[in-house]
Amino acid sequence: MISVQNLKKSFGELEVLKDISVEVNPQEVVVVIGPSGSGKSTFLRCLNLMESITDGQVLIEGKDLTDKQTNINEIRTEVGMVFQQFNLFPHKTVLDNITLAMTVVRKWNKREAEEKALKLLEKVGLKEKAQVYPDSLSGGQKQRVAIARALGMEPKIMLFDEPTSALDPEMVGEVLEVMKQLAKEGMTMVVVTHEMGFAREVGDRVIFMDEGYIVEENEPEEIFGNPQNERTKAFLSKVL
Amino acid sequence: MMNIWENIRWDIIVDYLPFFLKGALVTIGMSLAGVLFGLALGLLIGIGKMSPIAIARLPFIWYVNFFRGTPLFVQILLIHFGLMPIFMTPVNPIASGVVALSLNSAAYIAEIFRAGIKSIDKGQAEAAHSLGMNKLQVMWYVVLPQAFKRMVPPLGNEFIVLLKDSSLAAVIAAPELLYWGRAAQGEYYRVWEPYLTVALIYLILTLTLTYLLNYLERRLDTE
Amino acid sequence: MKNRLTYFLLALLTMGLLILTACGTGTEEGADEGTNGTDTEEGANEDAKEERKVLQVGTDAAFAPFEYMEKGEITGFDVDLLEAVMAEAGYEYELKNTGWDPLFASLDTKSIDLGISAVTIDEERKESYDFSVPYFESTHMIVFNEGTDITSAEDLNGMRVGVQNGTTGQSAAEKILGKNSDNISKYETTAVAFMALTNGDVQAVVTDNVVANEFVKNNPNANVEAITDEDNFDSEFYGLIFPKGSELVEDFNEALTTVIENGTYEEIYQEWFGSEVDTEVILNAAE
Repeated sequence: MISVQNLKKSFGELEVLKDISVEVNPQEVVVVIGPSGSGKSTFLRCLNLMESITDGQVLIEGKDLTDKQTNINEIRTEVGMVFQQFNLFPHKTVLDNITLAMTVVRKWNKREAEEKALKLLEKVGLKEKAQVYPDSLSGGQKQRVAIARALGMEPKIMLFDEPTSALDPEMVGEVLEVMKQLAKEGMTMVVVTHEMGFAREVGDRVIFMDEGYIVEENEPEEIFGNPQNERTKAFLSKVL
Repeated sequence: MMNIWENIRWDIIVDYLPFFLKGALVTIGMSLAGVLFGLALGLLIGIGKMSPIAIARLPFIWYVNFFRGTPLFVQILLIHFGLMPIFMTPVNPIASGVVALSLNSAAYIAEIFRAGIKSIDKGQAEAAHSLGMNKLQVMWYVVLPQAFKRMVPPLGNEFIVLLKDSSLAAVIAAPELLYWGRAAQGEYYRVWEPYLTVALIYLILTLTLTYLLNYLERRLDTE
Repeated sequence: MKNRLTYFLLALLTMGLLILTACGTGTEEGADEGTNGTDTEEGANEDAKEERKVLQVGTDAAFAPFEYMEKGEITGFDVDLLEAVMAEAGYEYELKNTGWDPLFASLDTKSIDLGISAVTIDEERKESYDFSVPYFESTHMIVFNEGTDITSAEDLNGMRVGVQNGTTGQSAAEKILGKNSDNISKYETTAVAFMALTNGDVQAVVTDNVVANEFVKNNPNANVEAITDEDNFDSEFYGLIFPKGSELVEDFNEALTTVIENGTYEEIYQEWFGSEVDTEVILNAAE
């Protein structure tokens, strides 16, 4: 479903991703962990071209992102993204946040979009907040709306970029709960996170990244129970 | 001060009031047209100045440099005597005034637009892009509505400056408010009656504008 | 309610500032007294300096060859004549480039003692100011692009005419076209009026003969003609202008007459206009 081959990414002189190759299969939940500055967020952002690709190849359902013929906006409708800072549109109500791209990009009519949006809000437990502005929501509620907004496009893949890092501890649970539910429904997910519990419980596969490389990649039990690489061991001993 | 208030000649004010009102209409018309064209042109220039290609930014940067960096007075002369004769003969000084005010205010408005757009968190555009919106859609549905709210106070300020700057068109004999103030001064060799009356009319115009802008700001705030 | 009060206070504040500014020009008088004139007479002794104050003279140095800026210095016929008259009358003075409109405002507030700026003596101005005896005779000319069908002032009817705002050239044009006629465009300076003529904004400019001749002389490629019309345009005379009731007028009348009679005036005239002058006309006009 996602195929990354020899991906490299530099910001000017600084080489952030050095040589990344990875495959993600349909319905798989891949969790990316690693110290800050390891390049894990940049890697995630290359998957929907939030960052331009310096070298290498990224294929989404067989479509090459580096190919100039590829319509990137079309691919982005298939790849939803959830940000650390939520990035809800403050000038629009919760409902309009979700329906905006549905009507503008997908060209669904307003009523159809609103019906779908309300169903999604129900799913994330925020139906009663449909008409309020994001300002009046808590962090956990904002992130759940952001997930609903991404799901509104009916994507085949969801990318999560440290979705709980900006949240107060008591709100982390409600967001992870929604993500677990999504995984259970069979969504293909790539999640960058510091939540090791989530990685262990929900992840089908865990990737440990450091200094622009994938250092180790295995099933959660193996990574957490029996890490092979010294750097993985050092990192896990610090966070667990 | 004695000189001004004790011997004030009301007959001069009465005599010229119809001309002052006629002039005020021209002032309002020129300013309004200047603002509208300035807004449209300023938006284009502001966006041009944010182009990712350095060479493409250059003409817009120099446009802003020129119109912000030289006196409007000189610009009016250049436009009236240099630019406008290409398009119309004889040149209508009011038209020249509108063109000068539009081109001049566009430079300031471009900067206001740019600052407003830049002030919007990058995450907003990223989120919109991640949903598959193209650049125009991101700008129109997400960035501009938020930026506009922040642009209202500086834009209001610019409109007030523009209204008063329109008086410089008197130099090419555009019959606006200050032009008639000067005419009254020229006829009676009295300075304060015409100029204080004209100042009062400008004050009324700018206060009205201030009121309207405050109203707009409040409306946008409650939205 | 609160907002309305704010606006009212704002309006009051603004008017207050206006009034303060107006007062400002009135109080400058005292402050300037201490400065020495740039053109003071070398021979004046210390005592005389103490007694006599330095006279403040205003001009609008944008009217060549009467008064204009040359390399930052005010120069011109009026400037040289002023120097001669001041020497004759025995005053120290300081010449300031006030501009045209502020010249009259400064006279109103007495922040200057007199003005010399090719100001025409006329009845309207006499209501508000005092004048010296005449020192220059001037008439009006119509300047127009070659080929325009103008042979007399009457031909200006139906044409768009440019003038310098508040000048007697304007009055002359208004006598024919009517006061505040839509066909009269009033410009800040004569130079802009001439530009408007070249630009086609106006078909003719009415102005003093000296200015008209200067323009024709300085712009040989402008292809303009200049005519006068003795039937429609009256001769006019320039005078020094004083605030109403000024005690200086007598002194300056005397000095001016001496300068005209003793030949100094003719020298200066010759230098600036390159032609002879009939001083009899000016002296006669004084009576």
